[in-house]
This record gives sequence, C-alpha cells and structure tokens, in this order.
Amino acid sequence: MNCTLPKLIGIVSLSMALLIFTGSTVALAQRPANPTGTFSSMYYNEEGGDLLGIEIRIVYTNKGFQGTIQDAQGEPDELTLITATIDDDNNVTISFTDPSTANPVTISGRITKAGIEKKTGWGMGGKILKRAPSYWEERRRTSPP
Amino acid sequence: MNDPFKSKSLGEILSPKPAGDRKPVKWHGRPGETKPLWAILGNEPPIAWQLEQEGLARRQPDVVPVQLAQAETNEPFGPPTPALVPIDVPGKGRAYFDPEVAANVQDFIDRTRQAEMDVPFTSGFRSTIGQKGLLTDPTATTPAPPGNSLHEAGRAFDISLNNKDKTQRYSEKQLKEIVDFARQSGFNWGGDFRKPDPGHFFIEVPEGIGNRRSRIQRAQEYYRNGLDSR
Repeated sequence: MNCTLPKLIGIVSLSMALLIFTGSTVALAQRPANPTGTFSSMYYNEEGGDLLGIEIRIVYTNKGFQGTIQDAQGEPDELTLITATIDDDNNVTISFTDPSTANPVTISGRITKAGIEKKTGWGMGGKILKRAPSYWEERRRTSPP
Repeated sequence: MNDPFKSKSLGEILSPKPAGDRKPVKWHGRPGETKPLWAILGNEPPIAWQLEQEGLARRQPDVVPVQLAQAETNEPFGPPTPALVPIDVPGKGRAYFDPEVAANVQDFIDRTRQAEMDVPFTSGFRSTIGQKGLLTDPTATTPAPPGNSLHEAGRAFDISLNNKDKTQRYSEKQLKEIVDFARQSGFNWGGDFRKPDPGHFFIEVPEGIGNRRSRIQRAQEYYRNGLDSR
C-alpha cells in the first residue's frame, strides 16, 4: 500500500500533464491562422524562360485588410491593389480590378496555416495557394513552392 | 547624211556640244590640289573629270547619301530587313516577332478567331533586360537564362490560360484545341517541356538551340535602336 500511493500520485500527475498538453495542442490547432501573409505559387520556368503562377500578399491597415495580387502567365502582370474581407472563420473574399481586362474580380476561399484553400473565381479552381516567401524575395526556379 | 543607227561615244551622248567643237581640255590646279596623273603624263582627262567641269556631275550628290546610308548597314544590297515586326495580338495589342515567324503567329491568331476563341496573348518579344527582370540569377545556366530565351529573339509567345474575360480557365479540351491550332501554324508547345509551360509556344531558330545568340543579338540590337519609337 505504501508503494501504491506514490505510484498513484505519479499516474495522476502524468495524466494531468498529458491532459494539459493535449488541451493546449487542440486549442492551438483550433486557433484561426493568421490571415495576413504572403501566398505564392510563382516560379520561373527555365525551359520556356517564363514566369508562371500567382502571388497574393495580405496585410492589415487602418482601413482593414488590404494587399496586392500579381498574376504571371509568361510575364508578370502589373501589381494590383486588393481589398480583403475576412470573417471570424478566416473565410476571405478578395476584390480587385483585373489590370488586363479592367473587370472587377472576386476570389473567395479560406485562409489556413497552409495557405488560401478552396479558392473560387478568376479561374482559380480549388487549388491551394500556399503560404510561401515572395518570389521576388526568394527566386524559385523549375517548380512552384 | 546623218545615220541614226551610228553608234555614239559616251562623250558625244553626254556633251551638249559636238566633239569636234570642243576646245582642248587643260587642267588648272586649285591651290593645294595635287596634279593628277593624266595631266602629268599629258593624256586626255578622264570623262568623269570632263563632266565635272561641265557641271553635269551635279546630279550625283542625290545618289551619294543613299549609298552611304546603305553602306552604314550590314545589308549592302538594299534596305535592311527588320529584325522584328509588329503584330496586333488579342489581349495585348501590339507585340513584336521575328519576321520569319510573323506569318505563323498571324496564322495561329486567324485559326483561333475562326474557332471564336480569341486567345489572349500575354507575351511576345521580350528585351533581355525584361528577361533579366524575371530572373536575376547568375547561376542560371540552362536552358533559357536571360540572353538565351526565344522570347528575346521574337520567336516565342505566351497565352493566358484563362479565357478572354479571365473568369475561368480553359478546359483541357479547349487547351488541346488551342495547342492543335498552334501546331498547325508551325509552333512547338511548352506543355511538352520536362517542367511544362502550357501557355508557351515557340519556333526554334533554324540553326538549332545552341545557336540562338546571334538571332537574339540581332533582335535586341534592333530593339535598342528605336523599336519603341516605331
């Protein structure tokens, strides 16, 4: 019996520690991802000598979330200012004027730690746009990040 | 009797006076002018000198600047062939191409228009500075670093993979149709690269991939010499 009490205390302590650790992990996992950041699939295709992909940067301003978007299908389009509306679940709606067509464009999706998921609009069917350093900071060749 | 079929000397044709009425020609040197060989030897002056004395050679200056202008180019047999020609392409407006592939580009545009696709272009000729802007990496060696891309020779173009309004991407079927049109127009497709570039179409230089430099240099030189102002 004398041996059992310390054992019991040890087990309880370990269980509590495990519980606290698991709880904090779950809480961390549930905490919404930071909605700001850079999301990029831009890379240089060496064989064609072309820049391909898209890059979105979202920052916070005193007017709400804003940022830039740049599309590259051979050569990069001009940098375009975007407005991002983000709700509590990190669902995002990005609005801007397409520089090549002058049409208003809306892209929707959800911002996660991995990137912008389930994108729709502007021909961006479903693929994730990963969080990655800007192409202009970290030039990538051969394949997207 | 005057024979109309009698051949005349050049002097008779050009001279306003009959040859027999001419006074003997003497050379009068101007200050600092070297006496020509014909005068030293006491020979007849050459016909060019005679014409000059009679004012008949004044027409020549009209010709000389043209000859000089031609001599300044590397094309001694006529006006230089442009290294790049403009074509109005959908989605971009004016783009420039090597004259050797310009007809192919136009043929591709015509084919897509006939199919009511009006595929938007995103790129044609690109300056080497523009190419460097895409990738400044001194370690880039193969196969299309700045200075070696067919865009810099005006022999490649890119299309948008989105439709004209950019509302959606071309379906695989539509893209295949576009690629078929490009192939029928003589272009190769970047979708066949090891790392596919599906919006890229090109015609390799006839001399082969290892000999792009001279074509690129020619196009870039043409561009630098004022393509912007054309």
